[in-house]
Amino acid sequence: MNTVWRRRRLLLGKLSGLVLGLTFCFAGQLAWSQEMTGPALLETRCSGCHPPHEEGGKLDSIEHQRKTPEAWEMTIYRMLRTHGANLEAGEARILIKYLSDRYGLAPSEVKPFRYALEKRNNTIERHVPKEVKGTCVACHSYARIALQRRTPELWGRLPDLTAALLPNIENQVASTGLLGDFWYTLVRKESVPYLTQTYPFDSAAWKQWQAKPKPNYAGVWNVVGHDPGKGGAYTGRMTLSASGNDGYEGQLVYDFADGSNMTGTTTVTIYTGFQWRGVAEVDEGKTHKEIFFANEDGTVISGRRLLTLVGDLGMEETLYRNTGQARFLAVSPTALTVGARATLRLFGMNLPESLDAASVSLGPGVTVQSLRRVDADTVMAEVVVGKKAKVGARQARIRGVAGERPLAVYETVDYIRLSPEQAFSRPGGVRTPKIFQQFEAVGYANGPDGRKGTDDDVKLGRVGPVTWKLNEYVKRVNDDDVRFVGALNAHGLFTPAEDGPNPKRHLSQGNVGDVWVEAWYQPQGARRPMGARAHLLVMPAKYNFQPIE
Amino acid sequence: MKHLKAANHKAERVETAPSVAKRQVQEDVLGMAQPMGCTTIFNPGWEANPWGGTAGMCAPMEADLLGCANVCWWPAQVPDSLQNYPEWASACSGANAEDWRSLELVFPEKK
Repeated sequence: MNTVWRRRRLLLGKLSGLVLGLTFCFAGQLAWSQEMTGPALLETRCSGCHPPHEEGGKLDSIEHQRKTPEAWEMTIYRMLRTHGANLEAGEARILIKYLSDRYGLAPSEVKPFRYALEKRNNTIERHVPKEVKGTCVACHSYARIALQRRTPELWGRLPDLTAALLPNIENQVASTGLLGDFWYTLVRKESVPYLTQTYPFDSAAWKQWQAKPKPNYAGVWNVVGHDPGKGGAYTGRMTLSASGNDGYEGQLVYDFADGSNMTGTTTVTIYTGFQWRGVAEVDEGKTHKEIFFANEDGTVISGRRLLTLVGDLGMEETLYRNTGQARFLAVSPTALTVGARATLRLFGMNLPESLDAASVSLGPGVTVQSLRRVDADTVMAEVVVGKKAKVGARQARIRGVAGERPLAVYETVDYIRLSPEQAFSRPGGVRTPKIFQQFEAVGYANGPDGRKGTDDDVKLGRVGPVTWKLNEYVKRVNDDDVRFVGALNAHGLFTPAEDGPNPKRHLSQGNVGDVWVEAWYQPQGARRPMGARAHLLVMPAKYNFQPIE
Repeated sequence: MKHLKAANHKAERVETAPSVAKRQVQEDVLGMAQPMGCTTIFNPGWEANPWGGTAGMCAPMEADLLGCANVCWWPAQVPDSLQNYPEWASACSGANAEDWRSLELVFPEKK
């Protein structure tokens, strides 16, 4: 074993399972950021192999494409891995930042494919163009291509590059039976022209975004989020202070619907003026990754807070800039039952001090009995829903300020559905990380037409308590997956079993398989419980983890 | 074959049906509707078989893992030892059934 590899192994050993993605924001490494700038690094570290073009003087390949920070990260590490590039500690981070800012994507270019960066790996890409379906998307997501912009020459070089990097691609892709010709022939004939036309280097959106002054994100942000796991809906505050070079340090304090709370700090880098990549240390010892995106004017930031570093578990989060004006952001719970009493938690920012029961309007038929202002962000209200209150979504207001999210009134929960309905997990814990899966049961009302599954159905929010069950998805004779794949806990979290061959199974098959996840919920007063199910695929472990799958 | 005639409707349909290869190119393959975190090569696939299940796949996958790495067969799941991670499996002799425990995981290296 040579020394380089030993060093890499040492490094990997330290980092394995710990740091993934853009997590090199350590304060101790800030010192050298002043030593070498992006252009200087391109000149000294890259231009040896990527000489400037005679026309325009841009560096070959590098300056003829635009992509996300994650994609630049993947490229730079490939340069180190297979092309003998040499970078000092910390220089990759400077290069990724510089290239993402200078050769990045506009907010509108990233938006349709955010799911890949946010690690929403249950997303099903339904509209993959036929030109790239069999040739590209057989191995990786469509988002991985669609989050790139290249010049015609650079798109044209991709087939050769791919064939050189993955020499067996022709055999491998042929085995899918999806292609009617050689991969190389088809990719040149169909995929490259399609990509050249659809994702060109120059775009109006990018020109506009480049010309725009970029927002400063320092200040107070009010947070509304949703944890599909135990915590449920949450609200909180994030206070950001600038630390230079688009870096921010943040303090966060969050309250969850189940009564728990979370405090911590975050270290954020903003790429391309709107892409927030943060690493948060919360509750003494837990590490979260924040993959957020700001809107164009920098007033709302939204994205996914990854609870594990591979992103299998995460929470939805939206941050609203606290501008000093009163805003009414969220109400919890999000639905009220006709003829019942409820305690509502209203969350916003800069709510007036003198609030009384009359200040809150929840629409006809819902009476606010008492009101308690907890702080400038939170108000608790005791309400009674009249027996004749109109069923459906309605607008809540605090002294005329409209709520950003609707409040629903319903008679009964008519049916429930699981989220996600198609899910996957992987065994782990011995050699590879366990890939968990969180399920959530969501209640719906049939709406005015009284029929299930139509457009007017009202989403009522999470229901509980729910009884969770795993059931066999019978695919073969003596199918026994359910005995081996893993278990669900009371909060709908599926924990897979260990990776590796299992001597107790036929042919020592690993703990993989496909099962139904069932949820049973019995609303108050209902005679029978109602059920919903999701298909869970527990797939073999994998050994390769990339920033964009 | 040209002297044989289809005896019933079913046999007629068999005669007139497009070839399997042609059909596969034309139709949407069910396997393409997998979650994004899966790749969609099914022969049988790493993650799932062509019907979205796990039956009939290499069992256990550890038995053939080096065969995948050496020829770069599942580059999205198994680090390929042809080009990108030549020494990925160097800690395994392949002679020991427990060898898979000493394989590396591949994350982007930090610099």
